[in-house]
Amino acid sequence: MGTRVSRRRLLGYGAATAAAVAAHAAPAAAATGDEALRENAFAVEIEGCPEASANVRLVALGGLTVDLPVTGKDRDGYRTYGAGTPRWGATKIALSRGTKGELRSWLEDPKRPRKRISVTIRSKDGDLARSYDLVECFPVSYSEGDLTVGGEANVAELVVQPTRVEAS
Amino acid sequence: MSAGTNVDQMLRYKGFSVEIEGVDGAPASEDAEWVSVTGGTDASFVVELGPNGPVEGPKLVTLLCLEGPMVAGRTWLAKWLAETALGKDARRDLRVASILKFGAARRRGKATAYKGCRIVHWKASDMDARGTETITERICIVAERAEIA
Repeated sequence: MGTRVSRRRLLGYGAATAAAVAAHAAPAAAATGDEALRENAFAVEIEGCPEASANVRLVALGGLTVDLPVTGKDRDGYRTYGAGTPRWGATKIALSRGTKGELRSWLEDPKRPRKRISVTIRSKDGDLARSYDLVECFPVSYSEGDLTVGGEANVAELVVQPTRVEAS
Repeated sequence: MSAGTNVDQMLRYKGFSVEIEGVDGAPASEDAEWVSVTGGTDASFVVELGPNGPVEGPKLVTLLCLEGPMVAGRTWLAKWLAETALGKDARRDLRVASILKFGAARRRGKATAYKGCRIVHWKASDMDARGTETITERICIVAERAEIA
């Protein structure tokens, strides 16, 4: 029969192991003091829609993809590339449905004016860390969400396609 | 300590940083926040189909992808991304250096220098007003050259 180990002693081993692992595997950001940005530290401003902007709950920024054309190879035999064209994917914005119907007005406007949507991310100190200006956005889809009894507040979902993005 | 123990530590703990060299004339800066660096192998050849079967095509560096938390101080990427997003042919030189850590000791290990890098993909994780997690970002880069530094 093997050696019996008490539960208290076993828990002690676990705590010691966790402390050792934490000491080695602590996030690198903490090690260098560079602050990791939190997912709730963002703000969205939809041009001409202050109520909708204040009610945004979630933003999924479309990513950037650049197709690089292959132009041949250099003297050492390495593949060479030309300048590519950037393409941004559609951005999804989920928000609590307000009372003013700003987004519906945008979609129902026959001119369907293009809007600028700014997404900013701030550090704990409130300093601007990143910003993404989605320029000349046009709506791809809009859903006012499901209506349920006893459920959460109605969440609308807007998907927009920016013509270009100014990042900083 | 046996060699096997060292190998185990290298596999368990994060042991690399990314150095960005000469961006806009600035001195090399270290970015140790990335949690994964994949690809960037300088040993691939394109296989082309010739009239008599497959032939060895140009040499290429495989796609180099970096992923980790979005941090406030990573201004070099924000600027590079901004230029790329505007359609400029923005190229940078990167150096991925491994920092071997054994307890409190740090020792510089293998480093690879990537020349003429261009961003071909960037994506950030979703932002949630009710969330408390860190935003992560992933960037993929095509390099024209890779050299053991």
